[in-house]
Amino acid sequence: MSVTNMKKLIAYSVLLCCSLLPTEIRANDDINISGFGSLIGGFVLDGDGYWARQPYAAGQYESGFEFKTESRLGVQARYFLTDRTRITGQLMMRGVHDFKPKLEWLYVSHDLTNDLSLHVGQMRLPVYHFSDFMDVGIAYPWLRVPSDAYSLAVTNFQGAGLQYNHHFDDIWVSVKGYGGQQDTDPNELITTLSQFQKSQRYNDDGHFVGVEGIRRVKNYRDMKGLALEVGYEWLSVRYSFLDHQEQFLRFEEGEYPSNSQSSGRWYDIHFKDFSIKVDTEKWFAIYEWNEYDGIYESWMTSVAYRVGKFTPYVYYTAFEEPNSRDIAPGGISAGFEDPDTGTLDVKYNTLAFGSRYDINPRLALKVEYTIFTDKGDSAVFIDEDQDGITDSKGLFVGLDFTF
Amino acid sequence: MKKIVIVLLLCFSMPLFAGNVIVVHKDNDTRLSLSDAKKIYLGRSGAFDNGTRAVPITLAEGHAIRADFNRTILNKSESQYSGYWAKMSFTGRAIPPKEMTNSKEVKDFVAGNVNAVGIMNDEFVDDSVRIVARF
Repeated sequence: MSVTNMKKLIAYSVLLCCSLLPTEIRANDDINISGFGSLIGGFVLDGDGYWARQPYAAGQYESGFEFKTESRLGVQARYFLTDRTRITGQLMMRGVHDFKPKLEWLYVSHDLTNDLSLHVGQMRLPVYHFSDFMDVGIAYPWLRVPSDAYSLAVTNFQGAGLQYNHHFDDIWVSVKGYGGQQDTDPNELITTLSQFQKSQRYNDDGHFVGVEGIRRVKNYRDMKGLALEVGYEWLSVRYSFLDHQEQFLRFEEGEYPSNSQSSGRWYDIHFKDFSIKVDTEKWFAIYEWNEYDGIYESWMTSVAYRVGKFTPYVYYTAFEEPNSRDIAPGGISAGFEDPDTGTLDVKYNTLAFGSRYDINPRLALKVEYTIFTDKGDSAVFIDEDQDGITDSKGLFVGLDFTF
Repeated sequence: MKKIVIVLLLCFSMPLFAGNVIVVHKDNDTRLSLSDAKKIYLGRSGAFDNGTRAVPITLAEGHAIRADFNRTILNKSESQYSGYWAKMSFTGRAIPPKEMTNSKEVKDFVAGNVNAVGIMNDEFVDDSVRIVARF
């Protein structure tokens, strides 16, 4: 049995056992079951399609009312082995994976001191401000985390981390240091990005009929990261970095798994992210910026205001990757190269207006109008007129809950 | 005159500071300010000032004392509180406060656990717990 299958079996067993236990045992202090979810649907108002570029390539909207692609359910089981040691498993069922359960987190935590805990297992990479809870829609005002600024192609890792929480009078500090590795085969986000950038297929009438079966694989090792957050009252500042070795394998249609177009060499990659957030009883505002090894840069900013049960918001987010490495001439984007440099740039932004409505403390309804502008040379999503411009507008509704 | 005496008697028969309190185990000698309580109830601090590990106890969602504590001490609406703890809990950063149904249950739990800190109505306070703050 593979390690992956073994992990799945453990998680299913934990959850199955918990669901079969009598209520009085389940309700004791040793086992805690909780969860969260989001039902998100929407349709494209203008353009050939919209893709929010969420992890696992979720967030694709083509025609009609699509509710499956971003919807998800998470179930977490936590078992207290002792007062200071616990094991936590989190299963995610995502619409983009046909709601098949997939183990997202499985880790053991041990409190070394009152402020310091050790975590070992599979966890979320805490690279972005919202990355380790971007699935938990109830925890933020938007329908989805502004995705143009959240493009790292890896979301989880297997390894270990140290979490330190402390306060000095009214200033609180949270530090997480971690290390580990992760293989992604295929890398769903990068494979899908590449498919739409360079291998869309059209019929004789010029209608989109699909993408080529290309595959992108990314492997990560020697990951070493730190996330530092300092807060005072309603203000917090966060900085994180991740250094790692990365291997990028490109397979054209029919060439997987033996004939990669790239050498398989490992590269040193440095990623850094900075954010500043204001969160009062009424106001929420954030600015976040990040850079991936000088290859791409992205950022987002947002303001929200809580008025009764409503939280109207606006956000702007942008991504820029000059001289993209993965757009080979000869794809559908051929002919759109920069006239000066001969290269292809990936550049786009999103402006969105929306509101959250708290139906009750554990249930929130959200609506968002999203305007996506493609300023790059190649297609980001479906491009029926094949001009490399994939602007779109969409209207989305979401229901977030926790239990 | 008779009426005044009755009113005075009624006054003295009621607790002078009836209301919501934060309590710890009677053997816990911590000095806990409202600001310290906020840090513990938001998972930013895991211990009392005397170094003892802190296990916060709150009341169930919808309870008036919890709503008052969340609003005035934690500065969070119920929706913000549940969103905050969804974030902390589902990312492994901290464990949310245990929830009890009523003040009597809070008092019983705190009386039996030297690490516990609870919010409750002082009507149920006895010598098994110690009041460290009022709100």
